[in-house]
Amino acid sequence: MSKAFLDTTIVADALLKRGEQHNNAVNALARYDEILLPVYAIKEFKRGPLRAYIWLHNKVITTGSWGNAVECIASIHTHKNLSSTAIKAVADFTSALEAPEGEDFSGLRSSSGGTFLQKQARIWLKTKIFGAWRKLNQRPFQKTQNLDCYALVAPKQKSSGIIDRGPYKCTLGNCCVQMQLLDDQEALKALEKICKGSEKQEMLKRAKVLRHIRRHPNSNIEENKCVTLGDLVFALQCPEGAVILTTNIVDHEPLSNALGKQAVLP
Amino acid sequence: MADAQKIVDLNAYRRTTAQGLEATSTLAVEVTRETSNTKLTDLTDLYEKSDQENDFVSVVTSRVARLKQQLHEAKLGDNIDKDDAVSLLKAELPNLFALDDWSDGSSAVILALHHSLRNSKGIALSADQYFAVERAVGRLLQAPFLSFDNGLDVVDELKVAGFDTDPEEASILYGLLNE
Repeated sequence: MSKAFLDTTIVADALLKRGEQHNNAVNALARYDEILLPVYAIKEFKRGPLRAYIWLHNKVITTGSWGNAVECIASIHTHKNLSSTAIKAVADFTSALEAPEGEDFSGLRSSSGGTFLQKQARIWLKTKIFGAWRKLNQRPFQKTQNLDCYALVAPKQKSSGIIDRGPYKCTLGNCCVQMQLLDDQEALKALEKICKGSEKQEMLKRAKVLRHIRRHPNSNIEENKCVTLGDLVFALQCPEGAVILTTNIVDHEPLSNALGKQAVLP
Repeated sequence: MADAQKIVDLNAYRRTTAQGLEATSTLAVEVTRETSNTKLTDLTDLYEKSDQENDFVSVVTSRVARLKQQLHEAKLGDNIDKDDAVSLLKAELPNLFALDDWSDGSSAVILALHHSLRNSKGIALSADQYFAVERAVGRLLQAPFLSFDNGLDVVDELKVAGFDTDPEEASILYGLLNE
């Protein structure tokens, strides 16, 4: 029986993207008998792409305008050189329903107080956010590797229309990934070795966290260190007989190979 | 004598009462006209009535029932009939979405129908797709205040039928937000 252990990239492709990447992810899922979805992937998904969608949804409500909300993206991602053409294309939203003409519809405002375009954007983003979250709890996904330190809370819409994403950090005591690493000293050492030998910054950061865990087994690691572990957690938690399904093979392969496991592309 | 006992002819009573009931009377005439089939009511006849005159549910019932009927009848016709019914639906979606009182679940269905049909680029729908569209319109007719979760069910049915329910800007947006 073939089993896929999903990385966050596949979850995002399957649930939020469209077009070729979405189709690749969905077709890949269909090739496996069991689709194992680690809670760490849900945590990363919620903290990453889903959080960005929730942020934009809430921005659409608070600015009262789709165009203004999209313009705000550049003010958040100041470290990136975002294409102004891309921002304009999204802000223009030419694929949206056109507001009907005529007296009945002039100056149309939706019941939530926004414009025709804003209402569409709000509804579409809400559909994406809650649709994606709902799918995580449906077949073919089988949740696995619960995190004792992380409360898996669904996003909720408040009466103001704002979506409360709930906690995306671990809040329930000691880091359980740290415990798993300490319980498997062999894996801890193998992973530390492979991270230390890498030239990539993120691998070197991981090596430091692993060293800290090994040398200070009784001191609980902070949230940022747990986040730094990232891809390494998938290698650690992937069960025997399963493969890690990821689009980020470059980062996952050395980690999974260090533990005699396999990472594959969709 | 109690007020109710004064009513001999209900329609006459309606005509002489307040404006709210006047609207009910007008709507009843229109429904009769549609069902008796003596004259086909044009959609523009329905739009001539402002939303203040007709309450939301009545308006939705009239408009969506007509669209559902067109889709249903076209199934007995040829491919042009079916494609034409879909085109009529596509053209009506902005007017439907513009109605103010849909629940978010129903709005999500209307929006998903729009993007599904838009992304199909005018190509005739497959049998599965046609069925999914007709079913989605049927859900709007049955439940204009569809819960959001039930709305997501309908959107999922459109996806299963092979539709792309997202706006074409979705890919660029994902890149802007995440990469």
